[in-house]
Amino acid sequence: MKITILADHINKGDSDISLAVRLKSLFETKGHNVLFHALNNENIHYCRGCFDCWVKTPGECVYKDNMEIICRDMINSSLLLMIASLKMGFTSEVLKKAQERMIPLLHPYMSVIDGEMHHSKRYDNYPLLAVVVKTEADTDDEDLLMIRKLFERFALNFMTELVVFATENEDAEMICEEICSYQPVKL
Amino acid sequence: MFNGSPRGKNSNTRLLLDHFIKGYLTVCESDFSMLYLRETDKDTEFVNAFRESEYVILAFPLYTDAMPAIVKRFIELLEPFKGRNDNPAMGFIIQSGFPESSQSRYLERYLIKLTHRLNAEYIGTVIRGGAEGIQMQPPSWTKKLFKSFYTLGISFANSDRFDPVIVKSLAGREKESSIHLFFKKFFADKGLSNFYWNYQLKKNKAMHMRDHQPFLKGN
Repeated sequence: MKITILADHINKGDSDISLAVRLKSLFETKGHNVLFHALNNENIHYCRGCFDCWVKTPGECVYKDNMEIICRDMINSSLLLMIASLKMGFTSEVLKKAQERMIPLLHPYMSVIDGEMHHSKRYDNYPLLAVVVKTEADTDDEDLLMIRKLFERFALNFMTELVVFATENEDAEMICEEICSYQPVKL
Repeated sequence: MFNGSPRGKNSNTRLLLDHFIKGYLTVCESDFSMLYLRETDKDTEFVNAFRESEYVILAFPLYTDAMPAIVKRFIELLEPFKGRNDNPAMGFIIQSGFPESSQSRYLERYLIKLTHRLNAEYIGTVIRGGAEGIQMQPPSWTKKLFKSFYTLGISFANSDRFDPVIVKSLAGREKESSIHLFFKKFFADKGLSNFYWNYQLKKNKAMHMRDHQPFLKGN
């Protein structure tokens, strides 16, 4: 399957030890096609909330930056894997910046989904979502539960589901296995 | 006060805060400052304002189910303040385009935990849904909403708290009732509930492109 990985921080020195790089390599070993984005090295603007991507140039953001490539990669993937550091109890602003620039992938129109109003689909298919977080010294179970819930909400709004939520403390091979074992059921 | 809307001075968040401040100033003359978090070159100013304040109100729209990235960026700037004993009391205002206040509740939990992290007193969180179109709505539609924010400002000036009755009234329905949902689904399925978006699409001569899928493989 095609997998898009968004990692919030990859530095040159991390190449051998970073979980994101290890997961990339594990997926490739299993024959998957991985599209990898180190968000901290990409040119991505903050969403300015103009909604031009819904009402002026539907499906396309006013900013012509690396999010165009990321949106194209993810909407043509079967899985979107987000790997991010927790900062002040939630995933980093680097990832959040990318998340909100994904709204061109949705339609402005509203639909009733699971008893709530949500934006409608623009595309027929959306990638499944997996999230792996790097915890802080003071991260507790309550934090992880809240973060997981917020990503479940994100998945609901992006017409998909959160199939794996893990921390970097878990074994990379197990995370990879868990993600891959979900594939035959849902993809 | 920190306005965390990516639209800054042209935001719905500002509109709501303007009424809150108007009410506040009828009681208090104490100085306050309004900072716009979209001005991402003003980190030092933001941090100094936080350090020097007794009370901080952080207001923003719900963005992809959480705080906007510029707000998260600001929160990350506060890391050195973790656990200090002299941090300001913090209150939050979340407005969103979704009608149900329940969609913002998940983030409210995070904000409460954030105040614990900062060892800051928690003033409360005001949640208001259905706020996307308020700039276009006639005054008769927004009169009650703006009056509520005005009264909230007065009560905050008097008590250093968000009045729970006003907070509850602003939150409105947590979830849509099944009858509301039935009609919303009916109108949505018939394409009759998209007036706001259709108006904008037509104004921009983009109606014919509304279902565009530019990133689909091959496009």
